[in-house]
Amino acid sequence: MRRGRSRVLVVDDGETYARVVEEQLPEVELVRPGARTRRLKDGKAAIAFLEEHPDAVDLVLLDMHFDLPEARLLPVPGVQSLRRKRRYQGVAILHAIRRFLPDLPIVLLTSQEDLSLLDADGSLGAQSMTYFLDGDDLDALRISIHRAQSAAALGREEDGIFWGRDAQMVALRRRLAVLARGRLPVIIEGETGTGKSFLAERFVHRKSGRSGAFVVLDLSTVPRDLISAHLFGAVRGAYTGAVADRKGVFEAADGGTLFIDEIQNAPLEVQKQLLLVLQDGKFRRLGSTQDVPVDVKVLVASNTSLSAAVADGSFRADLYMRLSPATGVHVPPLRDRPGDLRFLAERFVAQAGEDADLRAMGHSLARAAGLPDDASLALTIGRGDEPPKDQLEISLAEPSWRRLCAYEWPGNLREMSMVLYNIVSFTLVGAVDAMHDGTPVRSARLQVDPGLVGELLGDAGARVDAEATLEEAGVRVALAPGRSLNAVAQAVERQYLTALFRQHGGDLGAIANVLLGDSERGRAVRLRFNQLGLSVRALRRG
Amino acid sequence: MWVVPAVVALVWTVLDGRVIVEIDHDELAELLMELKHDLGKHMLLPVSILPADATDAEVRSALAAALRRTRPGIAGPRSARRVFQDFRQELGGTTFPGLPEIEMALERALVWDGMVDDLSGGPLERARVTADLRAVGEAIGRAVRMLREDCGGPG
Repeated sequence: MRRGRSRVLVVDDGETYARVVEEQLPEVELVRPGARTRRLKDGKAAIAFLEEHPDAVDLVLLDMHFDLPEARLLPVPGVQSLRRKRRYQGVAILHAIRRFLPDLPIVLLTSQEDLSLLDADGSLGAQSMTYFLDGDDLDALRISIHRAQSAAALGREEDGIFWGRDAQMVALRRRLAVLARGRLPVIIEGETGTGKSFLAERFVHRKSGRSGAFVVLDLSTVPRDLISAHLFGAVRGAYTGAVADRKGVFEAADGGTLFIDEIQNAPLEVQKQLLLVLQDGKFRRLGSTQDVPVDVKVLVASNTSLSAAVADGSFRADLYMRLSPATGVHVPPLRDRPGDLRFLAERFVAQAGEDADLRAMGHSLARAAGLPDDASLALTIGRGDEPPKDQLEISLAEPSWRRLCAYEWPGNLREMSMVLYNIVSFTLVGAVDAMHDGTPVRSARLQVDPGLVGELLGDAGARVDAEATLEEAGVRVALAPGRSLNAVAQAVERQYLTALFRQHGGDLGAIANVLLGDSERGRAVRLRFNQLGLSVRALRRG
Repeated sequence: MWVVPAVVALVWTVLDGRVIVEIDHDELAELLMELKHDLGKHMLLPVSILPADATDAEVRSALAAALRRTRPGIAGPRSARRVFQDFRQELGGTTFPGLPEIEMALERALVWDGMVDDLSGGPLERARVTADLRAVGEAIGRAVRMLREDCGGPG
C-alpha cells in the first residue's frame, strides 16, 4: 500500500490553486502533468490524463467555471448556452471522471450554494468522495483537502473493518455511526459472511460510548429449549440441570451491548420475552419472581429478511416493530461491491502475510530475493512495470483476476478472505519448495499459478453446490439418545456419510471433494467409513 | 429546491415598488451567480489565499491582482470595476432587491485600489482588506437568496 503525501491533481483554467498547492501546502504533493505545467486546463486534458494514469492521483481539485472556447468544453447535461456550459463545466468534468474513477476523491472548488441552480437536489454533494470547498481562504482549502483525504482513508479501512469505497458501504458506515449513539435497537441484515457480527462489535459497540461489555449470543448454536436460559439466566432448579443460579446474556451485557445473532431462530415464546425486555427494560430469570432492570443496547442480526419472516408468521410483528425496522441496516453482499474487490484482495493478501506461518516463508523468500527480511506482502495484478524493491509481490495474471472478479462469492468476505489466504499460501509454499530444490529466487515477484485460482473457486463452488443439493435432496438425520455424546455424534455422521454415498453413487473421490476439498483423498474417506463400521461393499450392494 | 415555472419567472412580482423587470428570472439568477463567481471568488481569492505570514508587499501585489486583473477578457484582463460595469450593462434596466447593497460593498472594496501603491500609510491592514473584499461576495449571495425566496412567494 502506498504511503506518504497525497498526490493532488489540479484541473483549473486559472493558475491560483495550483500555485497555492505547490507553494503553500507542503503536506500534499502537486501532480505535474508535464514538465512545465502544474495543472490541467480543461476537461478533455483531465480525462485523457486520468485515463492514462489512474493510479497517479490520490485527489483532484476541480474548478467549476472554465472560461474557454466552446471547442474545449465538454457538454453539460441539460445546458445549451455557451455561457452556462462555461459556468458549470466542472460538473461535466466530474461526471466524466466518475464514469471510470467512481471512488477518486474530488474537491469541487466552489461552494454548494453556488451550484444550486444546476444541482437543486444536492445530488452532487451526496455522491461518494465528492466534496465542496467551504470557504475562500487557505485554511478552507487545507480543511477540504484533509476532509477528502480522511474520508478516503477512513472509507477504506478502519479498526480492521474493510469498508471499501462502495457507495452502499459508505452510506452504511454513516448510518451505523448515527445508530450506534442512540438507544434504539438496530437490526443488521445481510447474507452469511458479510461481516455483521464484526461490524456490531468493532463499529457499533465501540462507537456507542457504552462502558459495559459487548456480549454475543448466536441463536443458531443454542438448543431451542435453552435459549431463554441463555438470554435471561435461571435460578437453581428452574429446569433439569440448573444446579446453580446463572446469569443470562442480558445481565452480562448490562451497561453495554448485546448482539443476538441469527435472531430469526428465536422461538415465538422467546420472542415474546424479548419484546417485554425491550419494552420494560427489565426481565426475570427463569424460575424467579424478581425483576432485574437492565440498560442494554440490543443489536440483532439475521441472514434472512425479518420482514419476510413476519409475513410468513415465523417472527412476531410486535417484536419486529419494537426492534425498530426503520433504523435497520443491510450489509450488502460482496457481489454488489465490485468496485471494492481489488482493495479487498489487496488487504486480504497483506493480512495473509501477517499470519505467523506464512510470514516465516515470506521472510526467507524476501531474503533470497535481496529484500529486507521484514518486507511486507502485496498483491499485484498483471505485469508490473518495475521489479519490486521493498515488498514481496503475489502477482496475479489478468485472466486470474478477471475470474476472481466474475465469481459470485456466495460466502462473501469470509470466503474471499479464505481464497486469498490460500492463493498466498500455495504460492509461498511453491516458491519455498522450489528454492529448497535448488531453483534460485530471481525476483521478489511471485507468480500465482493460473490454474490455482480456478481450482480454488471451482472447489468452493462445488462445496456450495453440494450443500444445496443435499438440502434439496431432503437428507434427514434422525436423532436418538445414545450412551455418550460420541456415540450420538457417530450415529449422526453415519447417516450423513451414507446419504453422501448414495448421492454420489458410491464415488469416494467425489465425497472426498465435498468433505475435504480434494478428490484425491478418497482413501481417507474409506478409512473413516471403516472406523464408523460402514461397509462400502455393503452400501454398494444395496 | 429552486424550481420556477417559466411563466412565473417572466412575471416577477414588484417588490417595494422598486423592481423593474427587463430580463427573465432565470437569466437574472444566472447573471448574479456569475457576478458572485467573478467578484465574490476571484476578487477575493488572491488575497484570501495568501499564507498567514505574507509580507505587506505580497498583500499589495495580491490586492492589485484582485482589483485590477480580476477576470480574463478578450481584450485583456478586466478589473473588478469593469466586471461590474459589464454586469450592469447586461442587466439593462432591471433592478432587484440587494443591488444597492452590492454597489455599496463594491465601492467600499474599491477604496483599497487607491491605497495599493500608497506606502505612506504604513502596511495595509490585511484583515480589513479581506473583510471588505469578502463583503462584496456576501452582498451578492444575499441578493441571490432574496431572489430565491421571492420565487417561493406570491407570483
